[in-house]
Amino acid sequence: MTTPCRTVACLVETYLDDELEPSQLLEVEKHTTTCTTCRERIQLDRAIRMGVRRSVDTKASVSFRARVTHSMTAERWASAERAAASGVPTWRAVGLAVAATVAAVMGLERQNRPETDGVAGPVQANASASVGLDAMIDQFVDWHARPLPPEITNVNDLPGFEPYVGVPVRPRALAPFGAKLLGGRILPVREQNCAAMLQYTLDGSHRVSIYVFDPRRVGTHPSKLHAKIIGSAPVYVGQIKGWSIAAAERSGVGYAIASDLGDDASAELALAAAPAP
Amino acid sequence: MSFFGKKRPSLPDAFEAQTLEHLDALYAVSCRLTKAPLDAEDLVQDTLVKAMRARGQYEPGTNLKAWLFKILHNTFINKYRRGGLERLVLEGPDADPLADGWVSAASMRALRDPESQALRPLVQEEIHKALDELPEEFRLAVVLSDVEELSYKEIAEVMGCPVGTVMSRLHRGRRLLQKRLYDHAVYLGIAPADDALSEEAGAVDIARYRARKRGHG
Repeated sequence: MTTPCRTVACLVETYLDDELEPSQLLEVEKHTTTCTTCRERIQLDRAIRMGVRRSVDTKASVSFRARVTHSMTAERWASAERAAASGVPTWRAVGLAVAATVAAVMGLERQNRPETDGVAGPVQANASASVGLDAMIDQFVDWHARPLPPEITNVNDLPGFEPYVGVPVRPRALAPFGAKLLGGRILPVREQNCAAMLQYTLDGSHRVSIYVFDPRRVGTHPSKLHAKIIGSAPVYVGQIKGWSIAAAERSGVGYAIASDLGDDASAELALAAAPAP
Repeated sequence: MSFFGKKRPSLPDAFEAQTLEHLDALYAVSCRLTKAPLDAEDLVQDTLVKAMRARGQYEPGTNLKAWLFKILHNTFINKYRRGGLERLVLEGPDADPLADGWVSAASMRALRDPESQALRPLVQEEIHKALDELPEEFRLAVVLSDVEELSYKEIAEVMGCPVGTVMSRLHRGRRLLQKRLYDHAVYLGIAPADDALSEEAGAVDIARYRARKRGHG
């Protein structure tokens, strides 16, 4: 005896939700091979679901995404500080994060101030002073090492970042260098600044991140990189945590590049990205 | 001096990156819950900060999106306690008893493929309105199932109710949508008016449901 339509109608919803027992699933599929009405019932349900999906499909704006990223970063810092102050981790992973932080601080201090090696004590009163270019570049290296997924993939959307970065975000096309744009995103840097990060692949094998930032609050002379004159323009280059870094300023806009390329190639790319004055 | 003072930030990790991958989904569901983009942004931001604080409670390997929706739902309930707004919707003009489910073949054909009749924007708008007017629990269940494709079990965890309740909310929510869409199709003249949804299969009395929700039923 065949399953009546009414029984099948009661199962259609669960069938489309993919939650039917195998025996019921067979029942529905067998019935709908011969019953046009029940097939149409299924199609109608599918059509309405598609309509609901279209209705709900709303994307978070670039500015909101930047705000959220910012507040998550702030929460991460606050958690790490709370944990450091109390000596009790607030969440399981804090140990790893703090270890990474301490290691990074030690690495930094070793480079700059050998006499402070190993110090990772409580927050100092002047710790909220403006972040310097070196600190920002270190953040760029971190973001390059562990990139977040891009927010945009179309180069025409880049100007949308400008209100957050505060300077034009219009790097020159790097296609002549074999670079392919994967996408871009806004990243929070301290003091409520944002930088734009553009992710490229070069010749299909190298990953290159180009950052566009407002250099006014952070200065233009990174002490951890050394100056190199290319043409008549200085470009600062160096290696940080194994990555090749180059930074340059053109027409009041800061450009930095992080990659696994050599110093010369990085310097050339940084200059290539900066529009000619 | 150190460039970071002692506030050198820890790095964003996989948890944060994966959480941010669900931002659009959280925002979309939040928009449907709050019905106001600015409120939706605040709700998502609160949710993500709470998620960061509670990350130790997340069990790796389980559905992160469902876990985030649970925080979103709890935050929504605490922040926007169900009050006058929903009652207005619940007791408004659409609060008539709802038939449970039979649409004739002719109506189904008319409703199924509105694109071919150049009516998609009108029908789409109607679905949007109908969704907004669903009782909150129905709306959230339908969105989590139809849009976010969570299982009954995951929805039950998000909403803090038994699986049977989820199935009932889904069924009622979908039937309300279908009825609304059918009425609209009749209004637009693409479905015959005498082809009404039959009431033979146990009408869902929304008024009774609301009374029960308020503890009077």
